[in-house]
Amino acid sequence: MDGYGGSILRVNLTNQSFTKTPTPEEMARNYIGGRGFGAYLLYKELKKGVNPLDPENKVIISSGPISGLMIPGAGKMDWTTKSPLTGGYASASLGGMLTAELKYAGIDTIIVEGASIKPVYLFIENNTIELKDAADLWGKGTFECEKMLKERHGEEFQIAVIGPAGENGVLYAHVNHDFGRQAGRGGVGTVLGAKRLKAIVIRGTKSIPVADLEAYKKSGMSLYKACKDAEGLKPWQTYGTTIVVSWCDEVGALPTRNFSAGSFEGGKTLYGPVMREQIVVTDKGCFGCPSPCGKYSYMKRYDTRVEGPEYETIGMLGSNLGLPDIQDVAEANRLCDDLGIDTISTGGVISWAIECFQRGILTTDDTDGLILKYGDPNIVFSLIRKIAGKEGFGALLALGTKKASQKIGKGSDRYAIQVKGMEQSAYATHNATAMLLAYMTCDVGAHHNRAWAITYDLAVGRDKVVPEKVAKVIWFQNFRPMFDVLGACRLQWVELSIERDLYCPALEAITGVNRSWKDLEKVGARIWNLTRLFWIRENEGFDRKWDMPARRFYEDAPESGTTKGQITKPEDVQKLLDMYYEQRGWDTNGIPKKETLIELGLGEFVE
Amino acid sequence: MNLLNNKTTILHPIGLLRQYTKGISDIEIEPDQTVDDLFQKLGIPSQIVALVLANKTVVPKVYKIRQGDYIEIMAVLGGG
Repeated sequence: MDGYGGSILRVNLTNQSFTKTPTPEEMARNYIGGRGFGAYLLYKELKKGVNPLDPENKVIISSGPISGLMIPGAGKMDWTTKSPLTGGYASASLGGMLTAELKYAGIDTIIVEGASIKPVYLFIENNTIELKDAADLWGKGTFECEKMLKERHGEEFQIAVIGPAGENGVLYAHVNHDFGRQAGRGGVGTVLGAKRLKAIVIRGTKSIPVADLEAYKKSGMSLYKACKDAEGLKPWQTYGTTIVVSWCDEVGALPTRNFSAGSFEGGKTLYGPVMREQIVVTDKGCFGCPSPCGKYSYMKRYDTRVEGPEYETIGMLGSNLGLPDIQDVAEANRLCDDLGIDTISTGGVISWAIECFQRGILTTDDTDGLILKYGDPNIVFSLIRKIAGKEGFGALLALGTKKASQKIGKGSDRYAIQVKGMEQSAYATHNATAMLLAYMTCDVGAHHNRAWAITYDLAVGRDKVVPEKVAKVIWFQNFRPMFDVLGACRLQWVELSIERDLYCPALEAITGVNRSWKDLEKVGARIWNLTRLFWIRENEGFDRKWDMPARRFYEDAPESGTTKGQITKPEDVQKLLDMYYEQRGWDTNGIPKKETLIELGLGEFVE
Repeated sequence: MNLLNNKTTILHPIGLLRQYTKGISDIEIEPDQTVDDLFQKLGIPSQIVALVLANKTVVPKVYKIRQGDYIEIMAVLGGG
């Protein structure tokens, strides 16, 4: 099949067995690849009600038709599972080199199922597939583990590993690759840890067939030329995602002290230019990237190095924890990466704990004697280590804010900044109703990347609650995740303003199937609705309450910063949901209507 | 850089911000005003501008524009 590696590899860790089957053409037609394959296979194959940490859960790792080809940003892949953090759908995007290597090995998707008795790692070199003993790797940090595997198998192998946090069952453990890229959110690394799969090592040397070689070269070069000519290339490459730190601070979107405000008085020392000058050593890109956003940093004070921090980490481990020093933030980033935990959830969990401590909900009896306060890097480092090891107080924080607040009670849920159990990423949404709705309805929990709508709020009026705003969020949700389906990075389109229509001829040249963006958006809507069905199936009583944001955004107006005194009205939160459900073709509880599912080609899932 | 001469003060909007200069990529502007004042005059919503460069160096929006400056501005686009 043109554009594809050609097979699905099923790895059963319980039996230590492998099967390889051709990638089904019908699945490729309807779900294309990447996130689409993940969502479809998860819904189809997972037995209803499976505990995410039981062997019956699966991790589905998929490239897309663009992955591994000479198209800007073709270094993306999707990791899907039932989330141990949220109990719903988890899909984490991973950049780097792994997706290309997977396809060169002739594989589109790996389905990991079952659980091994002892620690193992998966080794793939073209048609050689083995499970190898990982006893000597178990317990190692991600950096050391990846280094050991590179030394053992060779630099040309691409590697994904989990850290001690994944082994220990921290519910937001990630997968680390290429010493600094992560499948970060939702606990994909936790599920791999429960399966005792420490790492995946891949090398492939096969070709990927394309439908029209000349058209592929031409369309690929058009995309590269557009990137090269983009005026935004130089600043983007210089600062990467940190370009938005100052802007978020200015407009009141920078999460500050557990999202109690959106501007940080110490923010200026976290801005992109300061970071570039103080700690950045070089730029780092993923496969085929003409605009590398990764920044490799050296922290002199700690004599350590890390890829990052990116914007989200600066927000969540910096301003959100009251840390104004970029070296401290970068060091916290390094600890999270090495120990294997998501920086976004970690920042959200620690800020929740600090606020609970300040309000007397938690005391030193709960915190192993630690006095929790904002602005103390040593407290942050200590808590990160405790979380990864689930030591003492860290065991509570390892549950994430929703489950931890349910456990301790005392009204602590009010300070848990999360939706559906996932900690909100780094945009404060006290008065940004489109972005708030994007978080409320995101298919994995409070994550930003499906519908980054905050500039739209500023352009049309931040507190406006109108159907056009809701329509924009839905359009983003259908369209932006399609990059994760295709196996490509969205940042060339997002940050360099590359015309999105340039991707269609490339996709056609590669796969032989002509698709417009209108066609692709319909696939996006199909996947969106299927993931919604997964949430409903897996969570008894799922209804509109699950889409409610943290109360902070409609009850606690910031007392400082740009958004001081600004808040979304509670009735507007409900109005947003009403309009959203109506436009999606869902009922008033957020359940897709039968006719909506049939219209989107999801008839087989209608009960 | 400054395409006209070294005494002319220029605003160079990047990408979608050019809609506020009728599609023109380099327009001559008056010095001795802040970037924010300039935005107000041109009807550019300050809140959508992520980055201001004066002669290739990042400056805040309160920066006072000098004679001969080459000011580049870039909007926040689509996020992560």
